[in-house]
Amino acid sequence: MKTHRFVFVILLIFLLEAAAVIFFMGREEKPSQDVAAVNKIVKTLENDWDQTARAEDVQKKDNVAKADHAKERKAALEPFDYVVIDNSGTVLFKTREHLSETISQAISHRDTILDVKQSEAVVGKVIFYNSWAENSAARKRSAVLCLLLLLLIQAAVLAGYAAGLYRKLVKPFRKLEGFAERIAGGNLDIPLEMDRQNLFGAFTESFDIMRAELKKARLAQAKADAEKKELVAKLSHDIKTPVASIKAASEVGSALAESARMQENYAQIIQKADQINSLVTNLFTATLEELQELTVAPGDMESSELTCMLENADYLHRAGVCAIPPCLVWADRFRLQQVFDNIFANSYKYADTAIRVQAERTGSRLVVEIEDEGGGLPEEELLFIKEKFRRGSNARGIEGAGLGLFISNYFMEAMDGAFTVENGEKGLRVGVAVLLSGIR
Amino acid sequence: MKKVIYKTENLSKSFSNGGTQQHVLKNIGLELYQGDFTVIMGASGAGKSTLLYALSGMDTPTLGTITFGGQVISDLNQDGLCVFRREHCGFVFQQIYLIDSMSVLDNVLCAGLLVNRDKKALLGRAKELFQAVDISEETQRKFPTQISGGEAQRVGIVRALINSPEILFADEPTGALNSKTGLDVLNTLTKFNQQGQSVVMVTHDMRSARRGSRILYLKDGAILGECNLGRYVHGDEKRHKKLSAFLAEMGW
Repeated sequence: MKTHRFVFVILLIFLLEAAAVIFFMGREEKPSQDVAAVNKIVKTLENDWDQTARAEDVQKKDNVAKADHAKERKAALEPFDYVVIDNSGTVLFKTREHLSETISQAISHRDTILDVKQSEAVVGKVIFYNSWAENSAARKRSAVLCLLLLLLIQAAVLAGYAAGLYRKLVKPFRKLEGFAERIAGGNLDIPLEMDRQNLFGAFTESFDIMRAELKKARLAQAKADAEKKELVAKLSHDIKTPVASIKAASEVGSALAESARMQENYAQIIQKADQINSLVTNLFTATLEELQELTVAPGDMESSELTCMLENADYLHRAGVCAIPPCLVWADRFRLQQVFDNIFANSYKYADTAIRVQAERTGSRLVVEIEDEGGGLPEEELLFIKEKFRRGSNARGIEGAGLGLFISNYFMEAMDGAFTVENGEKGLRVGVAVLLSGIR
Repeated sequence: MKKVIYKTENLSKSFSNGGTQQHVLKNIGLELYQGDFTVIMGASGAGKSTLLYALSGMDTPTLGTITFGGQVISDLNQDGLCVFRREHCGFVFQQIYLIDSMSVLDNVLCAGLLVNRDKKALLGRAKELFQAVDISEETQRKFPTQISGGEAQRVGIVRALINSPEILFADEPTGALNSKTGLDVLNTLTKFNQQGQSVVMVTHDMRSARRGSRILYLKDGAILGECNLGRYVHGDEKRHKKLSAFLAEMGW
C-alpha cells in the first residue's frame, strides 16, 4: 500500500500550511509612511501652489483639463492618495473620491495632515489618506483564503484515505463477519470470496482453508455415523431371526414338556425372547429414524380396524372391549399397530394392572385413550418422557432403551395425529389421536 | 333459521376394487335446509354423484348416519329405502328414462300411482305441473320418442314432482341437452325452487351452478368449502362474481 506516499502528501500539505502561516505573519507591515515621498509631494505642491489654486477656479469650466492634470499628478505621486485644501477648507484637489476632506474627518481617520507653506505663511493643508487599515484587511483576506484552500486539499486527501481504508479494511472485515456467522450456523458450503488485493488476503485465505477442512471433517463424521447406524440396523435385523427360532423351538418344547417346571422354564424363555424382539424392533426403528428412512405412509382406513389393532396389541387381554365410533381415519396401519404395541408393552412392564381403553371422536380427530392403574409418573418426568433414551424413575431394574414413546410420538406426528402422555385418575393415560379422513 | 331436512354424520362410502379399498366419501358432516337450491360441485371422481345417491337412499353408506327429518335412513333395508325414495324424493337424471311404450301423460301418472291411488287428484296435479313446465296437452298425448330432448327432460321434472316430494334430486339434468333446452330446464327448476321446492343438484357446469342458493364444493370425497349465494336473481353480476371467486378459491 502507498502508506508512505500518503504520509508524504499529508506532511507536505502540513508543511505548506506552516509555510503559509509563517509567510503571512512575516508580511505583517508596520503602519509607517515613506517620509521622503510625503515631503516630496508637499514640496511639489508648494511649488505648484498657484497652479493648484487656479485649477480650483477653472474646475467648473474645464473639467477635462483638470482630470488630465489630476491623472498626470497621480501618476507622479503614487502610491499616495491625498486631498489638498486651502485655509478656508475648500478642497483644491483630490486624487480620488471617498477620502477625508476636512480636518476633523482626517483626525478621526488617523490621516497625516501637513501644512503647505508659501513664503513662511500657511496657505493650505495636505491630508494624506491612511490606507494601512484597508491594505491590512486585504492581506488578511488573501491569507485566510490561501489557508482555507490548503485545508480543503487536506480534508479531501483525508476523506479519500478514509474511503480507501473502508474499502480495504472495513469491508473485508464485514465480509468475514458474515462468513463467520455462516460457519457458526453450520453452513460450510459457501466459500469465502478472496481478494488478494486487500490487506487480509492471506488471512482470509486461511479462514477459507479452515472452512474447507471443517466441511471435510463433518462429511467424514456423517459418513461414519451413517455406517455405524446401518450396521446397527443390519445387526438388529439379523438378531431377530435367531430369536424367532429360539421362540419357536421353545414353544415346541413347552408343548412337549412333561413336568410343570419344564413348562415354566420354557414360558420364561418365550417371554424373554419376546422382550428381546420388542427391544430390537425399537432399536431398529430408532436407527432408521436417524437415517431418515423411517417411512410413514398414512391412508384412509375404517376405524373398526383399530379394534383389531388394539386386540393384537393387548395379547394379555387386560383391556375390556371398547366401542370405536365408526368413521374413516387417516393413518398408517403398520405404524399405528407399532404405537399400540408400545403402549401396551409399557403398561405390562411398568404398571401390570387392568387397562381401560376408550375411544371418542372430538372435532377432526378420533382419540383413543389407554389408561392403566399403575399410579402414573411424577409431573416433572411427564414433560420429557417422550424424548429419546428417556426413561421414567420407575424404570430402574426393568429392561428397556427409552425409545418406545419417542418412536410412537414420531409416528403419530408423521400421520398428522397426536400422541399425549399424562396422568389419569389411577395411572398413566396415553392418548393416540388420529386425524379423520377428508378433514385435511 | 332454516329447517334442516337432511343431516349426515361421518358419512363415508368405500368401494372394494379387486382387493384394494377405494374411499369415495370421507367423514362428511352436512346439513341440508328446506327450500334451498343446493348445488354440489367438484371435479370428476370427487364423489358428487356418490353423495347424491347416498343422500337419496339409492345407495347405502359404508359408515356414518344420514337422518332425514328425524328418520335415520342409513339404517333402512332395501325395502325401507324403496318406500322412502318413493314417498319423499323426486329424481331427475341426465338420461331421462321415460318408458317408450307409454304416452308422456301415462309416464307421469305411472309414477304417481305408486304412491297415490286417487287418479283424479293425480290428474289435477299433473295438469298443473305440465302447465308450469309449458308442455301442451297435445304433447302429453305423444310418446317419448316423438318429443325433443328438452321436452323430455321437462316431462322428467313433472314425473319427479308428481308426488310432491320434500326434496328433488337432480344429477346433471342438463348434461345431455343443448344450450337452449338446457336453459329451459334450469328455468323450470329455478321456478319450482322459488315456489318452495327443496332441490339438490349435482353438476360440473358453471351455468347450472349459478342457479343454486348454496354451493358445496367436493374434493377427494370431502367438502372443501361452501358458498351461500342466496335466492337466484337473473342477471345479478355480484352473485355471479361471488360464485366465480369461490370456485377459483376451490381450485375449479
